[in-house]
Amino acid sequence: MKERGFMPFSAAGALIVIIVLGIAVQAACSRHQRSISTIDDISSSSLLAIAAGIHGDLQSAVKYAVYRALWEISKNANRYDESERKRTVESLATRYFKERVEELGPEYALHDARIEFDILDENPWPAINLIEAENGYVLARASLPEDSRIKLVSRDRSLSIAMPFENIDVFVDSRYFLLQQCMRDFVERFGDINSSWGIMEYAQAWVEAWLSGKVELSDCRTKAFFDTAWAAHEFDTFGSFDYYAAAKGLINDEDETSGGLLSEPNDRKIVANPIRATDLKGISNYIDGAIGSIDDASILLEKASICVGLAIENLKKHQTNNLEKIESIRGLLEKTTSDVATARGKVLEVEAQMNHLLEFMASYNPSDVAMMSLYQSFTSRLFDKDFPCMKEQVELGVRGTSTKLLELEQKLTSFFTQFDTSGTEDPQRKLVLIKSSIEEMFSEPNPKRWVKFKTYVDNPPRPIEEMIPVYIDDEKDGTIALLDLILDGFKNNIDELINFSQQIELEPERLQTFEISDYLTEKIKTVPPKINIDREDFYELLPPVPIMPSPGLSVYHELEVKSVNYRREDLAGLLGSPTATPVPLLFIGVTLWWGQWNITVELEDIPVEEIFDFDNPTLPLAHGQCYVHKPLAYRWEMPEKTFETTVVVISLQPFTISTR
Amino acid sequence: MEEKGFGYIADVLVFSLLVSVAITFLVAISPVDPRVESERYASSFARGLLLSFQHSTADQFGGFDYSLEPLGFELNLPLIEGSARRELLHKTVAQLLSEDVLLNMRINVGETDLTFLKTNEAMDHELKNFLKTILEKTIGGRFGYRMRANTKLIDLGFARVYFEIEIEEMSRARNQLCSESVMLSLPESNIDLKKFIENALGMTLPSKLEIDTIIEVSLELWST
Repeated sequence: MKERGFMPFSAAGALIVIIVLGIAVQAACSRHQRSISTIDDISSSSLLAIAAGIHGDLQSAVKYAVYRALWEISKNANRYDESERKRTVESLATRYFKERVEELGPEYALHDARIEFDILDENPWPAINLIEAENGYVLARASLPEDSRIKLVSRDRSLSIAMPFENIDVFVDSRYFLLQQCMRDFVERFGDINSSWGIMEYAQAWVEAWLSGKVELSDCRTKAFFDTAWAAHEFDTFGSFDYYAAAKGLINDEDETSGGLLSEPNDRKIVANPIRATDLKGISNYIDGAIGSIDDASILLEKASICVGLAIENLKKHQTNNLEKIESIRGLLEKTTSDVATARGKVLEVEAQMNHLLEFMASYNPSDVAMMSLYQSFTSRLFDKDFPCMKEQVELGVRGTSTKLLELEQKLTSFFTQFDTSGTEDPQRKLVLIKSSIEEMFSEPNPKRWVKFKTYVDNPPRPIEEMIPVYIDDEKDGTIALLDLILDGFKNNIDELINFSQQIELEPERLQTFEISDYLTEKIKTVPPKINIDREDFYELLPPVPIMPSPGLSVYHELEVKSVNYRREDLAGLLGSPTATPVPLLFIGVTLWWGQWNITVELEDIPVEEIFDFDNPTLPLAHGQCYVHKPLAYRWEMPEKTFETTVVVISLQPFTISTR
Repeated sequence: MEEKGFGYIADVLVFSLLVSVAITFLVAISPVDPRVESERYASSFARGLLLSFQHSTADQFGGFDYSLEPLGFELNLPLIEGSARRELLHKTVAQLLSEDVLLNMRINVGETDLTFLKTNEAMDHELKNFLKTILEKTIGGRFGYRMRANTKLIDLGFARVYFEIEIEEMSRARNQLCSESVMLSLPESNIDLKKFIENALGMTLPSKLEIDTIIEVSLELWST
């Protein structure tokens, strides 16, 4: 082997083994180094993870500090104005956060010595800033004092991390800003409660006055209406209302009276339909048309009178058989006849106008009791059938006037067709008679008789008897002047009625637009749970489910009616009469019955309104012997204890007002 | 010639043996330790998961809700079903966990549980299910796991106040790969928590008693 210069296989093998061993040692060293760096890596990652964890935990601490501050301030929200309230929440939240951070620093260090809070207390704590986020949620921007750091040092002190906590935005899942906005709306439109309550009182009284002639004022019903009005305002503002309280109130009222009050607001659709000014203006237009016709007839008859006068003058001047003049006089009389015929047509138009008016009134829905009643008074005799109605007066007047005009027309026709100066009869005398017949149409009408009625004068008022004149009982009384007088009287009375309906009664638009939601009436039927703890505490724990899913708020209120007072304000009422005050409108033969009373509701204590963020029951708060997630509450104490409304009812039927 | 032949054969055999040994060494040599690598991966995974609990909200995991249980007063139950529901969509998982600790803290005197009202029992139950679902979804079948959250025991001698929750899936677990932990704080301050415990026990606690409001949450991952 030697000769050949080769080494033995075993030596080569040994060499290979040695080389491989060398490689293995190298690899082991490398693996060891790698493991060490992996451990370092894990260690530093772990340190970073702890820092991130603490950062996250401090964000939670900000959230809990804000929760607590919001709860404390929102529970007394009415004590602050909006900006002051926000500032107070911010300052309180900052204080709670500071206190918590001061507690947490040592506690973290106790659990992990690597953690160190470097809080520079000499620097002021920046106030937590509350920002309104979408949907009324809160975004809290918080920082530690300037130059403060969350420090972490590795165990071998080779690695150190210092993490700032500055301008960190923390989402707070409570809709404080939404609650604030909703309560602001509720308070700003607080007057809507009075308005709705007044409408309900009015509607009920109106129906009773018109349908039964008896308005019964009842404490229980007023309480129910007041509660319902309050609930309606809550529902309009918050999309829900305190339906347990509303239902409980109505049940209690019903127990007292068995008056079925629970059903009243439930079935409440406004049926009150007072005389509307627009309808009255429609009536007034027809009367204007009739007056226009009478005016036209008057003008024509005045012209006729002048023509006849001219004819008489001509006759006086020309006693000869002057054919030209005779033709001239005949022409004048022919023209006069035509004017009289046209005037008669105009007078007949008056009746047509009045018939259209009655058709217009009759076209109203029979359930429109005001219009039907007005129609009735226009077409039926009044004051024990002693006083002719408007229809009768116009019919008699038109018939009488048109008959007289027809007679006049016939006289004129017969006169000018047979007219010559050679006749035996004196044509001048005939024309004077005709002229005087025309003038009679304008003579001032005199009352035929008088009808008694009762009215009130002075302050304090006293009842007196007065007389109404009746101008027409028969066709023969009809003249243009009489028709003019009657129609002017109608027109004035209708204008008075318009004034009444515009000034005293509720605007019909308010009645038309007022409607209690079906949701509300349905929910009032809810049988409230029997609660044997404080009701407000109960609502904090178990806020009632909102009626409307948006905005998703539960509503609580404290509202205990102490007393209800009624005070009559119309003249008869001030005298102590149970009957409403009559206001006669003589020409249309209508007596308005005016009832007016003031209602005062006094509460036991100042009312409290509270809303809960039902959709976000997120605040972990102590409740007795346990902690419970509660929704943020926003509580507002209203300043008023006394509420007033005035009800004015005008009816065409007499009615009484009594207290049940 | 015969002697030479035997020597040659022996030399080749020794050579073969040494080459085999060298190959064995070479095979065994790996710059990477697979166990360390899997531990590193598991550790990083666990840390990421625990951190995500602090920043991910419940609705990102499908939402969380529960209903209050009896509150100690009579109720017309059908009415309050909706009212008793607590839907907590915007809370982070960590916040849910720390609030569960607060709402379901155990107070034991001897062996007797003094937690009179189990008002929030459903939260505890639902949260366990919620966490289990999250862990199952995120970990899948890659690891066995055990998650624990507990507070430092407050030992008053006659009474103990504590909280613990444990969720695990260890049916196929073999070796522990890592154990990562984070600290959470309770939503309540020491003073208020002390007042609450005093109220629950009906007695005043020693003024020197320090209550630890830190919750330790640990997550162990095990190889399968």
